[in-house]
Amino acid sequence: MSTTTDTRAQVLLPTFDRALPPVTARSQRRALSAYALLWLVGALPGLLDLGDSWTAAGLGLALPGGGFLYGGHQVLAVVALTCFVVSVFVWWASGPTVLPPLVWLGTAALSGFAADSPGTPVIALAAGPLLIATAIVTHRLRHRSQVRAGARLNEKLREMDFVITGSPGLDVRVPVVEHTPDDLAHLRYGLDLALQPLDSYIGFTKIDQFREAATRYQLNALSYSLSMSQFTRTPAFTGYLAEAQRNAIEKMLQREVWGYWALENAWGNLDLQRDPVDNSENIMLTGFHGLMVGMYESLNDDRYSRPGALTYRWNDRVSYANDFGTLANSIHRNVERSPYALFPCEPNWIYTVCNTFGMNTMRSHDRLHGTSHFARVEDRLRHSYETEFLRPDGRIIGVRSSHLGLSWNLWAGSSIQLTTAYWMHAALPDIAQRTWWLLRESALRERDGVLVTPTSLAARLDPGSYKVGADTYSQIVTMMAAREIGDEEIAVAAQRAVDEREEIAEANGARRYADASGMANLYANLGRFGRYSGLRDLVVYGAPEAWRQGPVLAEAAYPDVLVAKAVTDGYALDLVLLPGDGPVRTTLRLERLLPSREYAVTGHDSVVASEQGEGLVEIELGARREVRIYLT
Amino acid sequence: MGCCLALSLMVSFVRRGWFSVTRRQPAEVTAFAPPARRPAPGAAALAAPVLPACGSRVGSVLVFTGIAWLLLGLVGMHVLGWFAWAETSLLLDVAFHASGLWVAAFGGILIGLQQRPMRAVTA
Repeated sequence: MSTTTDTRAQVLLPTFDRALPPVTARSQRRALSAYALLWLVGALPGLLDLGDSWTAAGLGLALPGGGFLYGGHQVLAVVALTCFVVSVFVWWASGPTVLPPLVWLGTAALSGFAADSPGTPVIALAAGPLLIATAIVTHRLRHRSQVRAGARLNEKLREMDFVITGSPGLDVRVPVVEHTPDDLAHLRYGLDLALQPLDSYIGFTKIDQFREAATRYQLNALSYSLSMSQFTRTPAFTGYLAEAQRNAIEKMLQREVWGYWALENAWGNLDLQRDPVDNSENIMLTGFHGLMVGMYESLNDDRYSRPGALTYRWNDRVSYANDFGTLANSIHRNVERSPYALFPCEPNWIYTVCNTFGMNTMRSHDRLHGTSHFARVEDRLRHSYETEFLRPDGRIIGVRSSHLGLSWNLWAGSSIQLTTAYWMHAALPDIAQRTWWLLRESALRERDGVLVTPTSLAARLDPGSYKVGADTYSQIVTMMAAREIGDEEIAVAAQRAVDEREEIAEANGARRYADASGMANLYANLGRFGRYSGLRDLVVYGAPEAWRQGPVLAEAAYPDVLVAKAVTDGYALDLVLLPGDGPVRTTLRLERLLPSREYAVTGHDSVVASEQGEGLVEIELGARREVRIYLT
Repeated sequence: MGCCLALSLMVSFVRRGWFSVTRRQPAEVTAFAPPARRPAPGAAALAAPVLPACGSRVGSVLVFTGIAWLLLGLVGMHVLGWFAWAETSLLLDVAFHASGLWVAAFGGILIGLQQRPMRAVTA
C-alpha cells in the first residue's frame, strides 16, 4: 500500500507553557478590558448616587438583566438574560454581530424605566466578575488535566510513526477500480441532481442559506463526490460526469446560493458591500468553491481559470467577476492578514474545518498554476493549528471567536475531529494522521465488524436536515476519514453499518439512503468513492501525466451508458460500460486520440481518428461490457 | 459543513420546538431530482420533460377546477334547469361537461408523474 515516495514521521503533541495561546490571549485581554470598562461605567451611577433609574440602567450594563434585578423585577431579569443568551446564539448561527450589544444596551435602558422598588446593587455588580473568574479557574483546571493527558499520549506517540504519503505512481496506489452496480446507483443520485437545469433545485434540501443545510454545502458535497468518483474510477471519462461537476460549480454563482453573504456582511460587519470574494472573511464560500474548481481542473480542463469565468451575479447590473486564481488569491491574502492565520467564515467566527478547504484550494491552485500561495503561509497555518486551535490533549478546537478569543469544549467533539482529519489530510497530513490516531484511542469502537459511534446527541445529528435520530452522518464521516487515512477496516465497518441498517430509496435507477439528508447522501458518495490518500493525491499531486494526455471517452448517452471504469495509460483507453436503461445500440465519442491514426476497438470495427483527434465508436450494450481502444 | 455540529444540534431543537408549538410539519423534501437524460453523440437531444417543482400543486388545482366545472354543469342542467338535452346539440353538451373531466384528468396525470419516482425498498 505504500510507495517509494512515502515518508514516515513522528508527530508529537506540542507542549503548552501557558493556559492560553498568544493571539487568543491577546483577544481575550482586549475583550476583558472592554468589559471592565463597561462594568465601571455601569457602576458609576450608583457610586455617584445619580438616582434609581440611572443606577438600574448602569447595572444593566454591568450584567445583562442586572438593572431589572436591582429594580426588583426578578422575572424580567431572567427574561433579559435569556434574550441576551438567545442573541448570542443567533450571532453565532448567522453572524449578526450587532445583535448581542443591541440586546444588552436595550435591556439596560429599559431597566432604567422600571426601577420602582430598588434593592441592592451587589448581585448585579458581582455576578459578571464572578462568572469570569469561575470560567478562568475552570479553564485552568481543565487545561492542567489536558496537559497531563497530552503528556501521557506523547509517551505512546513516541512509539508511533505515521505514513505521510508522497506522490503516487501510475501503478502504485492509483489502481483505478470499477464501480459496482451499487456504486453506480448511488452515483446516479448525484448525477441526476447535478444534470438538471442550472436554475432548478429539485431534490435539494431547502431550509436556510446560513447553516449546514444551506444549498451551497450540498453543491460542494455533490461536486466533491463526483470528482472523487472520476479520480478513483473513471479518470478517462469526461462526458456527462464533467458536465455534472460544471453544473454544481456554476450553480454556486447564482445569487440564491451566495447571496446570504450580503446579509451576513451587513449585520455582521455593518458593511453593505456584497462582494463574496473581495473581503476578509467568507472562507465558507471561497475555500469550498475553490476546492470544487481545483478538483475539476485537476481532472478536466482549466475553463474556470480564465478571467471572469466565475462571475457571481447579483442582478443584471451588479456582478463580481472572479476565477480560480482570484479565489486562491483572496484566501492567501486573508490568511496573511489574519492574526490567527486562520480567518472567519461568518463574520467573527473562525472554524478550523472551513480553513482546511482554504488550504486545499491554495494547494491545488499552486500545483496547477505554479503559484506558491500555500508554501508562503504554511508555517503560520501549521503553527496556528498547533497552538491557537489545539487543546493540550490533542483535540482540535472547532471554532473560535476572532473578536473575543472565546471557544468552548462543546466544539471539540469527535465529529469535529473526524471531518477536520479528512479535509486536513491533503495539506497537513501529519496533524490529520495524529488526529485520527487519537480518535482510534478514544472514540471509535468496532463491535462484530460494525462501527459503534459515541452515544452523544451530536453523533446522532444529521446536519444536512438538522434532524436528531440515527447516527448515519457520524458513520458517513467516519467512513470518509478512515478510508482517506488508510484505516480500511474501520471504513468498511462504517460502510457496513450504513448499508445494512439504512432504508434505501430508489427512483429511475438512482439510489439513496431514504432517511438521511441530501448532504449526508452526497458525503456518503464521497466516502464510498474515496480511497487511501485519495483526497491528498487529488489535491496535492493531481492526475498522472498519462491521464492528462491519453485518450478519453468524451461523450456518451445518459443513462443509457453507465461508465463503471475508464482509464488510459497514455495510449490506449480501457472502458467498462453497463447499460443504464436497458439494452441499447449507441455511439461513443472519443477525444485526444492521435490525429489520423487507426485504433482497434475490441469486438468492433476499427476507428480512424480525425485530424482533431476525435473518433466515433458505435457499440451494442446489453450487459456489462469491456471495451479496449488501442493503436493498431 | 460539519464544522459546527453542536450548533446544528441546537438548530434541530429549535426547529423541533417550533413545529410542535405551531403544530406544523416541516416542508416535504423531494428526495430525488428528475431523471436526467443526455443523448448519444450525433443523436438529437431527447431530454425528458422536466416537471416543474410545483407540478403537483398545479395538478391539484386542475383536478379541483375540472371537477368543480363538471359539477357546476350537472347542477346547472339537472337542478337549476339552465339548459336541457333538447335545447342544445349532444356534441356541444358532452364537450361542455367533458371539458371539466379532461382538465381533472390532466391534473391527475400531472400529480401522478410528480410522485412516480418515489419507490422505497428495504435493503
